[in-house]
Order: sequence, then C-alpha cells, then structure tokens
Amino acid sequence: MSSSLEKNMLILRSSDGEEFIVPEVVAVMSKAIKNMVEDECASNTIPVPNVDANILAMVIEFCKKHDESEAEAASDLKTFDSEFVNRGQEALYDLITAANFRDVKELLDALCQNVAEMIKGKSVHHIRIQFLGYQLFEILTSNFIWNIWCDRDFD
Amino acid sequence: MEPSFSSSSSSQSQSPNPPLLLLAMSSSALLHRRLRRRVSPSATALPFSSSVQKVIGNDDLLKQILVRLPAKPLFSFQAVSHRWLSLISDPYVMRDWIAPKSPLAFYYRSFINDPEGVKICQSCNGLLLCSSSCYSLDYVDTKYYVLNLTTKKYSIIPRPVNGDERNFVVSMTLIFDPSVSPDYNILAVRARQWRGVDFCVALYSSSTRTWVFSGLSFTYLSSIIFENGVFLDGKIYWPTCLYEISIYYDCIGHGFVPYPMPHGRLTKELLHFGEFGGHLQLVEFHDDCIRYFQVLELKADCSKWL
Repeated sequence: MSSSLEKNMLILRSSDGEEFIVPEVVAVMSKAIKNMVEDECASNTIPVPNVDANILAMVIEFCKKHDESEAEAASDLKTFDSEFVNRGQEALYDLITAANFRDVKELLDALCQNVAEMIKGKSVHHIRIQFLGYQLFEILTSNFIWNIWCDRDFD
Repeated sequence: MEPSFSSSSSSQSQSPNPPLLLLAMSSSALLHRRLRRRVSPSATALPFSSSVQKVIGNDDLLKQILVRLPAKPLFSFQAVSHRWLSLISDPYVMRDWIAPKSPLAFYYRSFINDPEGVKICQSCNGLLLCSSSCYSLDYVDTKYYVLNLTTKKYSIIPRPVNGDERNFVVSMTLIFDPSVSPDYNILAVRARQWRGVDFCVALYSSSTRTWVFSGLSFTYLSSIIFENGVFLDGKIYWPTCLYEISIYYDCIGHGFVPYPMPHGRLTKELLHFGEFGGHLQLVEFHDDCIRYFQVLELKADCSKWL
C-alpha cells in the first residue's frame, strides 16, 4: 500500500465506506477533489460524501478511460461515452448528481446530452408525469387556466 | 386530464369521486392523499425517483439539460410548469444554448451530411469554420470543415496531428482576408495535456493543404477563452475572464503579444466579443440588469478600451 501511495495515489472513500485507490491524475479530473488536493487540506484518504460505492465506481471508470485515452490518442472515446451514459434511469440521474457535486465537467456534459436526447421527443404531458409527478396535485388544481393553455397542440 | 387517471387507477375506492367533488373538498391533505393513490399506477410505469428529483429539482442541472435541446421541444417544454417556463425564458440561461444556434447550421447540417451534426465555430469574411462535434471535447474523429458561403463549397480540414505527440486542439481560428490573399490559413492552438497550461500552435494553409507545426509554444493561464477567437487586421484576439491582460496572435510577425482587457475580473456578464466596423468590440451586461449593457471598443493601437 505504501509503495502505491508514493506514486501519487489517492484513496477515495464513498458515502457507504468503501475505499477506492485511484491515481491522482484521475482523481483531479474532479475539480472539487483537485481543489482539495491543491489546498493541501486532504490527507491521502478523501471522503466523497453523498456518493455511494456503485456510482463512485462508475465515475472513476469514466475518469480513468478519459485519462488513458489522453495517453494513447483518444480512439474510441466517443463510443465509450455514448455506451457509458446508456444506463438505467436511477443510475443516470445519480451519476448526474455526483458529476455535478464533484464537478467533473466532461461527465456532466455527456450525461446531460444523453438526457436531452431522451426527452426531446416526449410530450409536455409525459415530461410532467416523469419529472414533476409530485406536483400533479398543484398542476391539476391551482393552474386550471394554465393547463388549458398548455394543452394546446404545439405542432 | 382527470379521466385518464381514473381509468388507470386501481378500483380500491369505495365510490367513484367525480372531479367536481374533488375540487370542492376543503381538506387539501385528504385530497392530496387521494390523488397520490390515484396517480401511483402510472407512477410505477414511469418511475420518478428521488434521484430524478435531485437532478430536475436543481436549477443548474435542469438548465444544463435544457440548453442541449433543439428549438422545438425546448419551446414546447415551456408549458411543463412555471419553473420550466421561467428557466427557458431567462436570457441568462438561454445564452448558453448550444443546440443548433443559427438557421445556417440547420442548412449546412444537411449540406455537409455529417451524422454528428455540425457546429459553427467561427465566421471570417465570408468563410465559416465548422466542426462535427457538438461537444466541446476534441475527439479523434472530430472533423473540421471550412465552408465558403458564396460558392457553397466546402473542404475538410485534417486534424493537426504531428507524429504521436499527445496534444489536444483547444481552438481553431480562421485567418482569411480576401483583400490580402485569396488563400486562407487556420491557426490551431493545441494543449500539451488534457487541460494543461502549455500551448503550442500549428498553422494550416489552404494553398498547400498541410499543417505547419511551428516551434512556437507558450504557457498561459487557462482563463483565456480560446473558443472566442476573433480575426481582425492580421491579428487573432482572445478574451480572458480573469486577468487584466489577454493575448493576441500576430499573423505577420508570428508571435503572441499581450494586450489589456478592460477589467481585472470580468464579473459582469460577457455578452459578445467580436469585430464590428473594423474595431474589436466587447459588449457586457451592466450590473445585474439585462436591460443595460455596455459596449467597449479597443483602440487601434491596442493600448486601451474606450
């Protein structure tokens, strides 16, 4: 362990206590971690609160891939990106939260693009049910006129 | 809207509640519970979980998603809720809109016929520089095009690759002045690392169709906005957002020269950085009010902004 730590390795600890050993170059793709490292307020173990082991593993996978492809001429980076973001709803949105919180710009870009692709063909009604389910009560009762206006056919 | 839920709801309720009765009920808690139960079957079909809510409930993240939508869905989604409407109509938010910005992009998307779509990077005296990726990242298969708007002809620009050197194209800027030469050049600024501060340049010439890699390299702080290069009078200007001094590239002397920026820290919103009437102009919002903006102009000798 100590030998690997000498080569600028960092340990990231997820919210549920699992630890990941990551090269520093990979970890600092997250601006939040980069700032911590630069300010020297981090020891070798960096806690990553709010992000559980599953999601953290995915984020690290993404960062590693991007770091490797830097070394060997980014060949199939785009294919990797599009496959990477192609996951279940839950994981996708958890990843966005994590990427935003840890400030990993490339990941956030790719994920948001994916969500945009997913929702661009949907109807307003569908978006409401999918995203604003908890607000249905409000929409149904208080915005009566608003609703009528909204239900116009936009095509 | 109401009947669609009644039809999909489980028939657990003892008596069917007509919508009017529902609306008339004063106890909102009860009403809420009832609606919840009615909604739940469709909710399981289309799950909205706490993680979805975390993303959609965050204005910044929702904005990130919205700015990636094409025009038509974007504007129809104004109808989703008051919050979406206010986000989509906010000029600050929509300034970042990166979906096809101009009708030209729509037109040339089909013209060039690239499956990835085409993004306009820069225009310069009648030529358009486009890239094939809508991401800001520079992938290995990103293609670059130069379009002549008058003749509607285009040529594909190869990526500036120099052996197996590891570097990434940060920006490409057209250098074209028909009054000087009918050929154009392209200046590529490349970073040695993924997000490093060492840059080197390469120059493409349309007459020889090759890249020339100059030994010129420089180290500069990453606050220069390389995407916003402006070609004017044989110089390429880039704005910076954090420092009082930015740089321009002198296409005749082939070197980088510093020039001042109007403020030490551009806290005001940068609206536009471009050329107008032979002068370099910078338009910024005044304070927080979007109704007022300030237009600054760089003196011809690059000494100060007026």
